[in-house]
Amino acid sequence: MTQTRVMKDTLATSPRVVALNGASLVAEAIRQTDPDVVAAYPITPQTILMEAFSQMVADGRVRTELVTVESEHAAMSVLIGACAAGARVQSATSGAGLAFMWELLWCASGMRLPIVMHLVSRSLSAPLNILGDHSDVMGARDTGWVQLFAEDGQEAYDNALQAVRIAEHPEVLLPVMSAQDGFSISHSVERAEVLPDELVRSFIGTYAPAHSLLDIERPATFGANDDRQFFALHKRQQYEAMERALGVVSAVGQEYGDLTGRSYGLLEAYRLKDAELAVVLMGSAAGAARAAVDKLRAARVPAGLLKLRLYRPFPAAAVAQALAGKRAVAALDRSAIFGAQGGALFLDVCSALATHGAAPRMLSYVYGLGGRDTVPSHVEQVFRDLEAVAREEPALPAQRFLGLD
Amino acid sequence: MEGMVEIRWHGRGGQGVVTASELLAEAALLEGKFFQALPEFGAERSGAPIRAYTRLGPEPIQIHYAIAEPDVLVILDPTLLDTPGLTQGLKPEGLILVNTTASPDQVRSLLGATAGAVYTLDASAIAQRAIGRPIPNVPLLGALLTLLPLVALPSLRESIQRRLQGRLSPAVVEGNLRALEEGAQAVRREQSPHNGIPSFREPSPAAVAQAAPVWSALDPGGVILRPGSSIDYETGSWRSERPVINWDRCTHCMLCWVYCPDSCFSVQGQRLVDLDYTHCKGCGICANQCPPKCIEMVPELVFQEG
Repeated sequence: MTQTRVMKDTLATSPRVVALNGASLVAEAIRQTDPDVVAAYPITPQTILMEAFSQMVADGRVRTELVTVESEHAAMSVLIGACAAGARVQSATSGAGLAFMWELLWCASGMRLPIVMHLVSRSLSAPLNILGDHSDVMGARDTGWVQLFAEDGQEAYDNALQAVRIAEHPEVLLPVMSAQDGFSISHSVERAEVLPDELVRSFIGTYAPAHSLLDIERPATFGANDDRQFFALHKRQQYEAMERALGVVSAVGQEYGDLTGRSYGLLEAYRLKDAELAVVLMGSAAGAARAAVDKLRAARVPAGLLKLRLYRPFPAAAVAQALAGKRAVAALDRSAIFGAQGGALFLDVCSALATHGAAPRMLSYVYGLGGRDTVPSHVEQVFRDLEAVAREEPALPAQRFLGLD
Repeated sequence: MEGMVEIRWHGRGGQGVVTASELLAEAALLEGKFFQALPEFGAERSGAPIRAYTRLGPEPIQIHYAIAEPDVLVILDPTLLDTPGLTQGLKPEGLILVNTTASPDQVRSLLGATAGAVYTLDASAIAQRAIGRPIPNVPLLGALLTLLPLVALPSLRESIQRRLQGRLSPAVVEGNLRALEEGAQAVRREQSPHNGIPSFREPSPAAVAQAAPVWSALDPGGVILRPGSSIDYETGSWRSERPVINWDRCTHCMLCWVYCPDSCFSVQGQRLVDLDYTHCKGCGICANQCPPKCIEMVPELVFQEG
């Protein structure tokens, strides 16, 4: 893989400041990364993203072969075949669409194909609901994909570009899912900076797959039967690749920062260092949480926020380090996992803390399901709850429901 | 697990290997004994060599793994006798029961086995007479229970009836019961008598070691970089029937070459010249397609018996 570093000074006059929604920003990112093949099926709230991209294809602004398939199952199948053939490939989906891809998600990661998928996350029915939450992403959290969460359109755009580099990194070779919250980000027009095409091109470089289905000089078989003597060994390799992705996500985020002034790490701590009470979350509710932290800090409540950008692989060491010494921690999940002892993010945070020897009081919150808004006063209530458990007051129920308790 | 007996069944898909392992387990249930029947499948299909395992004992059985060092080997298909490693792990004082027309002494030399006492039974012929199909599992069960009273014969009769009644015709159910009796009486033994069942022991590390390359040395994602590697996979062992070409009637139309899923037919100078039995699975598609009907599917047993 060739990666050319572009000097910061070439950027000085280059970025375009635009007013676009998150979906359009990602459509622009797909155009700029110029994938060989995109296969997708429309589903709300992703539809406007793929509509915008297909318009670019129709207008000849990108050379991508856009395959309009009959389902998301077919979309992912097309990408797996095209990626094995050596193409750079991407897709986008939402909610039930991602659920329908589920078995292929495992094929993509197991075959170590660097597919990039943009997710406009939404709830899973029933009752029927097409609005934003993280049920779809969290349902795919164990499928072997790297998962990035964006807080706003700018981050969704920036993550979309970095996803290509992360996926194709020879130490990783895993598919990457880059998520933005349905409607609140995907349909929300905000100020964002779009890089010049040239800069994107040099940042992502060209893709030179190690093997290709179409290389008749060096024939290769992909996705062959793997009997009991080999299957576990290949899964063992996948674990290693996931572990290595931690370092690659950091390095790519740093390099992106050198180019653009917007650096990305695994997570973002806000007023957390001297905090005693901490809230952990991902996605578009981070802004409301920051507002709550500011308000409480003004009232001398030692509140802090930890926003995760990378969810898979879970940056356990960084999370444990960021939360070391806190008296009480709440993890806020924008999805429901029924019958578990808390939300998915909550469980990951708990295990990160436990395996690193920290034991703050912990609370699990479910919030924002099916498009429900999260406002600063909701998060303030979380901090009030944390104050109570930190004072060893009578235990609250282990599973809390933001705004619904 | 004192007193537990471990049986390893070898046969081909379609010969009732798994059914045999389960019938014995169900008979043990009827007697209040403890048991386990465990099949071992790959991605193969009918005709492919498969294994199954049965454990029987006086106490609950809590282990769940393949039997590496069996007390008893039952071989349902004589064409498997020259399979490398067939008797691997058999305890020295164990027992080998084979469906074959050959004598126990001939079987021992075919197997190259040093362990175990060998017994034989022409179970296919018994089944052919009794139920009209050469499915050897039930006669072999009869023979096995004669050699080792793992369960009483009436218990096995009942497990057969429970399983087959309502699913097969009364004539076939009766036929199976006759086959069981006949198998119990017709088993042939080697010169040296059997010494009884050894006591259970956990398999030695060597017996259960799984040969595998170091995981980090594998190509990621299971990509296979050597073209034509399926040549190493000798699927010819799956075959129960062999396509035989009547060259006098072959018109060299090449439809067999077109349809063969395993590319077994070779062509030279626009003429069909050979058939690769190392990879032919015996699926019979060639015989079905052949316009002049010059390909006949012949049972493998015919070739083994010369």
